Amino acid sequence: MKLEFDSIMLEFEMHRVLSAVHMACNTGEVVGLLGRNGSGKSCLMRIVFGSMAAQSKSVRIDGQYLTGDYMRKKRIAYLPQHDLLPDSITFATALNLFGVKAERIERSFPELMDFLKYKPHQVSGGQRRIFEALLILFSDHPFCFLDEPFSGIMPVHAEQLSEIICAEKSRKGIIVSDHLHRQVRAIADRLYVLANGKTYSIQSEAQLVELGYLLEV
Amino acid sequence: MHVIRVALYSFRLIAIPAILITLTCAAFLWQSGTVLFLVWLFWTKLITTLLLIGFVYLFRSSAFCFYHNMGLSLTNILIAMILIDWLVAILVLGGVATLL
Repeated sequence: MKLEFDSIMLEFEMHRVLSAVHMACNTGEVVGLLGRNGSGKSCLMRIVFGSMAAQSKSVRIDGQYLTGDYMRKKRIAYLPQHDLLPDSITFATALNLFGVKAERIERSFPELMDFLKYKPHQVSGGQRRIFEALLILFSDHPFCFLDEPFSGIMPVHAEQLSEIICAEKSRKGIIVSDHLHRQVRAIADRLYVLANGKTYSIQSEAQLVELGYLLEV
Repeated sequence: MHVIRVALYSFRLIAIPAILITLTCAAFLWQSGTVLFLVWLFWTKLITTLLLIGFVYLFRSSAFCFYHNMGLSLTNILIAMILIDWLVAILVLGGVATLL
């Protein structure tokens, strides 16, 4: 399967955030999305996911346009940069609602099994973040957007999460955005930078400097 | 069935204040001793429901993302919350009205 999106236009009053975006993600690949703070990465993900309106957008899966209320088709799962899970439900309920089996969590992060009976606000921010990322990755949606999945996660767990992302790409397409750019570049098959409202396909580190994302190579 | 279950969970966003308002309305109805009071309670419940929905929409909208991932759009979530709130209100107030 191939997810493509382009012609995305987003303006806030007189400020144009997104203007010339073109990205694609195939099943079986991890695509990295980098960009400075405020460049519009989260907005782009939310627009394609369907939870944010834009002046214009074109989203296609295998050439078929996704229009109207396409969230119900459950093609794209989205991990927002803020908390995903509501505080009113337990982790076990969240797993159940997402249709993810607890054994999958047990295989990847056995230590999380102790928290299944707890509500999200009863565990640490890092543990909550890992659990949320796993929920999205193990869901049945063919495409996943992960917005800052490594934030607040300790290095060992970030490495484990990277391995899971790489393993899960065999059955889905994954777009990852995070300011831990080394982590993203290590797992990404392709890389884009969002700057000045446009996406730039990155072939070398020097381009990251040119686009103002890194100070030096 | 799954959608209904998810919708029920989404109602938890406003469940406590919504049910408290319904119970308060029921208490006022019981105190008044007349079903004519239902007209006032209808408008009270309608306004408070809209205020609650507005509050959640403006200040708790980040919580919607979880339900979006399960296929519920913003419109679906808001409609589900209103329907469940009103179903509970009709059952409770209807029950009290029949006892009068």
